[in-house]
Amino acid sequence: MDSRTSFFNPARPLVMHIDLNSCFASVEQQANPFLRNKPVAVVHSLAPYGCILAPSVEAKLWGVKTGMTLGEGRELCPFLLSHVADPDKYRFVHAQFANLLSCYSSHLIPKSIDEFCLTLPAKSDSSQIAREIKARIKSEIGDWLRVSIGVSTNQFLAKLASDLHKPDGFDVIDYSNFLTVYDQVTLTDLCGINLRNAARLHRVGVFTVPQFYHASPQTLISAFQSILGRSWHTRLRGYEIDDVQFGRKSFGQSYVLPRAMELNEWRPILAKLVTKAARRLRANGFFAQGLHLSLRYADHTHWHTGHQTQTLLFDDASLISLALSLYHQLAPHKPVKKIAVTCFALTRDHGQLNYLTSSLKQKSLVSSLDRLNDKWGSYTVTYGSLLGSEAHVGDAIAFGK
Amino acid sequence: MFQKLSEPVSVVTSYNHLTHLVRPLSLSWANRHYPILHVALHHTARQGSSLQHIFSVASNDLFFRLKLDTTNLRWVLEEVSDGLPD
Repeated sequence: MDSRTSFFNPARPLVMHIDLNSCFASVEQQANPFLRNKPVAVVHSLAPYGCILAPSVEAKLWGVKTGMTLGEGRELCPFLLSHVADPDKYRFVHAQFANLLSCYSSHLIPKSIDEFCLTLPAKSDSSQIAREIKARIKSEIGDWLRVSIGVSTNQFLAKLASDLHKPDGFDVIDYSNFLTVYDQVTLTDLCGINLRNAARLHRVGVFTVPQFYHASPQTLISAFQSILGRSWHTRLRGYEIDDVQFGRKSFGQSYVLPRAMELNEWRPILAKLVTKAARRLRANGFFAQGLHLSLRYADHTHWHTGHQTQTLLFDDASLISLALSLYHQLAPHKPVKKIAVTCFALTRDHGQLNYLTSSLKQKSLVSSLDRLNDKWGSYTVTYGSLLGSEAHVGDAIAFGK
Repeated sequence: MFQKLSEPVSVVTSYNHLTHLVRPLSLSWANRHYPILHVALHHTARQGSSLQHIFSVASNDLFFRLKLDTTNLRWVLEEVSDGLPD
């Protein structure tokens, strides 16, 4: 270890990051063998403006990327096969992954629907475990599924290692090779450094990852104008600062409308978004005391506002009514393209009842409606204000459902 | 060709008591019999409180998505595809 590397964490690399390559598209290719070795895009809708959620490895070779519209994807790859997302399938595969990986560590963190992080027990042979995990995924979950695995001394570098060789890669970053890896990657290859953060670093003379590593904490604090600079200084030296679980702060839903809509058209969609957020709020045992409404208009302008109340909000009707009153009182009335609602200022539902007896009846009614919808399917019993929203706001791919 | 359907279908299955695995062996649809050569994925989903088992299977030249509704033990054919663009 020379003086240049002496600040890097000398511990054995035991933090493993596992990334299912081209997750949704790979799962579709797993399910349908006739899609394998073909460019496939999993899309939100089959319309030309439908957003590509995940291109297959083969589609990526044609330049198709996540976030493009299906029309843009087809311009790059005329043979692109499209498949509408099937969230149940992806959640099921996610659960199988979690089950398999839990055999290797008691400290398993799902980072997203297609990424897991686990801390291996001391004295583990990470490369042997990585080989075993890859083989078990093929035999127990699906023979077409490939994962990239990265191992390092902290979660950030383990993720960077998993990104080095895709698909089906395995890389380790530790004190012996970290400078070589830093030489190979750019600032924006680092998870958490987007173009804006890269520009912040440029302002203090940091243009490469090795320069980022060698920069002093003071330089980085001045670049980020916050304590985040010190976090980056620690992270790049292989010490763990990201192994924290943040508590739930809000429940939100958003939806991009298929075209610009007037209030009478998007009002049922707003009601459905509020209903979905409120359902998750109650299912997780929370009340909200605030609601945030955000609208993006057809003319590309944006408006948003939040409002906090003294009362505990939990039922769909109160939240829909609050969202609409925020709109009517404060928002510019123009055609809308995107709606987002968020319930915030959460408090736990400890069974403490409001002083108003009507609240008890209301809570009991809402619980009964939730049980009915649990038994017979979502939206079996709904408010009339949702009429007209049937074709909108489908099941999102959330892995915590 | 990709077709979304919701058609009742006859399915022959096997069950292995050692592995606890149910495997569709063949299906009959539109007056034709299709031996199932590959069970590519089996997953579950819920519609309300009803548990559905979904089998993604392939015959010689076609893909089928079969759903077994556990409330009435009825099979439904939900998708047929040959993996080629329409």
